Amino acid sequence: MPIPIVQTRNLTKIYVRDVIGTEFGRLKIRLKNRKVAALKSLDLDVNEGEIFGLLGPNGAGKTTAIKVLMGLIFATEGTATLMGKPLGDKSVKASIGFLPENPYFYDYLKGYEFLNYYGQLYGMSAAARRKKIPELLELVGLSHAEDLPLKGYSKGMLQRAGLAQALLNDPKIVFLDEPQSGLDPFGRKEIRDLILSLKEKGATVFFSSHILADAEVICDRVAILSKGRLMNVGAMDEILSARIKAYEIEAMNLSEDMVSELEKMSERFIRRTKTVLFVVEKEEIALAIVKKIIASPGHLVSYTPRRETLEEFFIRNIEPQNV
Amino acid sequence: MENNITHKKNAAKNVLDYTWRILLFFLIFIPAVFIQNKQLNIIRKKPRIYRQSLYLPSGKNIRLISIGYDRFMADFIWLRAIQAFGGHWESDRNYQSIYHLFDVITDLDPGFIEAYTFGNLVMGDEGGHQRLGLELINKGIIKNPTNYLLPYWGGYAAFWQMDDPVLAKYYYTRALKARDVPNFVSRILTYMELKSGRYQVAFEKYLRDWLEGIDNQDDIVIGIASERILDVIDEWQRYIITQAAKKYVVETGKNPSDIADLAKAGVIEPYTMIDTQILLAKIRQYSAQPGKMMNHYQEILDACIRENATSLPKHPRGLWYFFNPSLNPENTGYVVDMVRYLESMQNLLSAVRKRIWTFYKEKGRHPYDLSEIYKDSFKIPEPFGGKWIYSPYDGAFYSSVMPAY
Amino acid sequence: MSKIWAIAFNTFKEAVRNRILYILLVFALLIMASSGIVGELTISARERIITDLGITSINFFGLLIAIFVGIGLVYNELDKKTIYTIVTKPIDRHQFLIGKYLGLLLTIYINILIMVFFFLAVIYYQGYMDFDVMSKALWVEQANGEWASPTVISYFMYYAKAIVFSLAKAFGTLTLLYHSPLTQGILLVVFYGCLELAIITGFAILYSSFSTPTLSAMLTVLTFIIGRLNADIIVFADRMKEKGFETSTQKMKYIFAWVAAHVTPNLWLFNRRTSLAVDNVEIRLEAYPVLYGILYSAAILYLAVHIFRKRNFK
Repeated sequence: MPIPIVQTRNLTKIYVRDVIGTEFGRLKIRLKNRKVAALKSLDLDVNEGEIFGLLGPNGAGKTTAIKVLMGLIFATEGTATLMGKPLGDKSVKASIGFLPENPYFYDYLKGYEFLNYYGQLYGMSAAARRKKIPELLELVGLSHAEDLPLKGYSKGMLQRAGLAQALLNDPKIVFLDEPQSGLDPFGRKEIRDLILSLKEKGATVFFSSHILADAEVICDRVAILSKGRLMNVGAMDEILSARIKAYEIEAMNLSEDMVSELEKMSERFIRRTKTVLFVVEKEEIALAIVKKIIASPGHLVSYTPRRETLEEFFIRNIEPQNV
Repeated sequence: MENNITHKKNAAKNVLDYTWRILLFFLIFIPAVFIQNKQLNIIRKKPRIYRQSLYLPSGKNIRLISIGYDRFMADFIWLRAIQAFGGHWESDRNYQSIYHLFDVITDLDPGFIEAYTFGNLVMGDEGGHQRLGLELINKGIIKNPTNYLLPYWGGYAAFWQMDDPVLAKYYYTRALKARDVPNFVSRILTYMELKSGRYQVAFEKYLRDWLEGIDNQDDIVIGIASERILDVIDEWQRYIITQAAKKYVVETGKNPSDIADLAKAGVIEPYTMIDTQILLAKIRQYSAQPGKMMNHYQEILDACIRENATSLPKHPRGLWYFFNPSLNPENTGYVVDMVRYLESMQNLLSAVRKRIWTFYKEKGRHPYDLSEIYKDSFKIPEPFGGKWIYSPYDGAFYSSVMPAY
Repeated sequence: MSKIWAIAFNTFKEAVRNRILYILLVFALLIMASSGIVGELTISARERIITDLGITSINFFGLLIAIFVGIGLVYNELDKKTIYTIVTKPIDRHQFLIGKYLGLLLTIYINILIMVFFFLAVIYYQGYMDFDVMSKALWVEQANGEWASPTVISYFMYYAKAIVFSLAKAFGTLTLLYHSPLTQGILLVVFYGCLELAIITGFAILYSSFSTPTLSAMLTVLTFIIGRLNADIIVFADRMKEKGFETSTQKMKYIFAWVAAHVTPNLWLFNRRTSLAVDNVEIRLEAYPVLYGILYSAAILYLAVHIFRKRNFK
């Protein structure tokens, strides 16, 4: 078995809050209950070349886990390795790209300068930088803003610049913390495509997100965190039950009598401008409704057996957290 | 067209809006300016007395406050001191209160030579607090032992302000030990020797200076030394005559009327006489070959010094000695010669004339009588046997015998 | 260590955009330009005042730049979270901190260079404006023994020449090509001041790595003051010891004073300004202050790195 490229064992991070501190803007003196466990005994394995999603509600500890892996904060207990070497190894860092959540860079640097500086920090030679930076700018679609200071970038442009710097050194692992936050649907699609293309090149992508729909589509395996604890980990198929949850039948041009009759048979009914939607749990009833629609002068638009989505799984299993 | 008109109307409306705001502003502002003007006038009229200089903490504390920027603080206080000096110069001419400022300045920066010298000058020159000034100088000498200016000014204060040649000698000797001493300092020291009564020492030193000057062909030195050496002889001899006259009074109970009386009475104690003629002759003889004058030093010395002489001393410049009949014996001496006598009369005349002139500036007219300027009537008698003449119309004051002076 | 240099240069670019820097620089130059006017207030100590004003400005404003730019240096990185993408690159945390330090030092030294250049030019200019020198240059003796009064143009030319020549001389002095007795000791005095600044900058970085800008500023100023008054503190402590301790508060005061005096840097070592007096000791380049400065700065940086290494970037 090849060693997982990212591995954590018993990773724990406990924050100790100050005796005198602020909470919700108010001064609070805490004498007991000062410890907050952000991560509890996290065991993770990420295999090389896969797209791994770290999911969970807000405050579950996703960002904390990534920060510990990146060396920004230090774990209270437990170990972790990247590419088989312990955290903080410089040679490993040279093959890693990292995009934090809501990234903030030096305002006054222009696009090209910014990537140039980060390239220097990676230890890239001037020639390598000269070659790679225009490519990257092209890739993320920022070639037009090369000479613009980062101060003038919009949020979407900043996100793309962040992506560019994460990909500077042809990294083997790319860590993305909420890469799609604040992006419009076009941006989100681009991120999805980018992640997929990275996988094609052989890189591993480790990203955290709370937009479950996108994670569902591209991830090979996911881990679900809740309150710092690992709830489930595995491929999509393993987590979501294979059980078909419901059947959705969409039809149009049905007579009113037909609609009310079918409505009685189904669990849920949604009337849209041109179509009506019936949601049925049992397969026999669903097939019966379909037969009835076909027999009628109405028109069957779609018949969709649907499995449980990740969102439903979430809402079913994970408690909301007060964060 | 319509738009134009409305635009103009709006513009006009805006201007009107602003005018009343502007008027309101000035309505409030101008009275404030008036009040300010009144306040400033009050401040302007106040006499400028720089008393706040007294409330400076001690030098040690100020050094703490200035956290390492000592020199800068010293300069800053120096500027204040100059201003304070100016303030006192205009008003009460009493500089004792700003002594502390100079003390602080020199505590902060002991190498600030001007602070010591200027402080000393200010204290002593007009203020009469020479002792304070010398304290500053002494402090400076301790901190800057290799600087010649400090003891130089100390000597100046000691002799020319305090009339203490012994103290001045101490300072000038100190000055000679410093680096970069200009050579006139040693000559001033010799002059101090003269003034403190060590005539022979002074004579020998001046003789040495003169010979060296001829060797080096330094005209300035020659000029000074040749004049001063005659002064030495003059003073020395006058001293001897004065001693003899005192003995005459003790022995005979009368004042001597003429110098010749002394010789007749035989009260002249044996003294070391310098024969000026021989001295000058010898020097003239040897100065034909300059460059080797110092070799003849001892010879010249032996030739012109005559020990245990009892004859009347002769004036080195060829004048006659006589007893000072009237003018200020303390200043000009008991024994004088004509040049000195005339000089002192001129000094007296100019002192009186200056007083008349000050009176004229203050009152706008000449005094009717000298008793207006001098509280008691003018006591000093006219030296040549004539009378003092004073004319109240043009303020002229002169002697009837020598009106040209 | 090209990475350290990359970080330093980037820090320099960042510092140069700080508006406070320009305000301080302009202020310092203004003070030096007006030192000639201040010198008019006194007759005898005029050159002394101009020199002192300039040197004190250079030292003081260098200090202000170190504090104002330095306190936010590390703190802003942590606060604005720009550090996330830096520390995750293959660099050591100590490389980052040292790079920041060197970048700040570079900013300060370049500013000091500008100030020194201007100051030297002012001194040379005052030399040209000296009454004797100017009269000698302007009043030309004619053939018949009379003096030709100078025209407006000759005045103008003289002023222009004075400005150009003083700038050129200042440049020459800086590059050690031109030597003048007027400015002999100034470069060395400024050099010693720069060593002092290196230490204080180290402190600024140290404090910035664990506290907010306001607190860092106060701590740096406090360190500076205690460092300058080191000698007095230790003398005070010794005197207290001689008198003996009556109460425990006195003993505590003594211990506090002793610790403060020994832990803080001895900044008095770098004060060579008093040696600018004319007839006293000459200023030389001594090895001890240079070594002390370098070693002490290194020690402070080491401490800062150590604190920084263990820090969690929330």
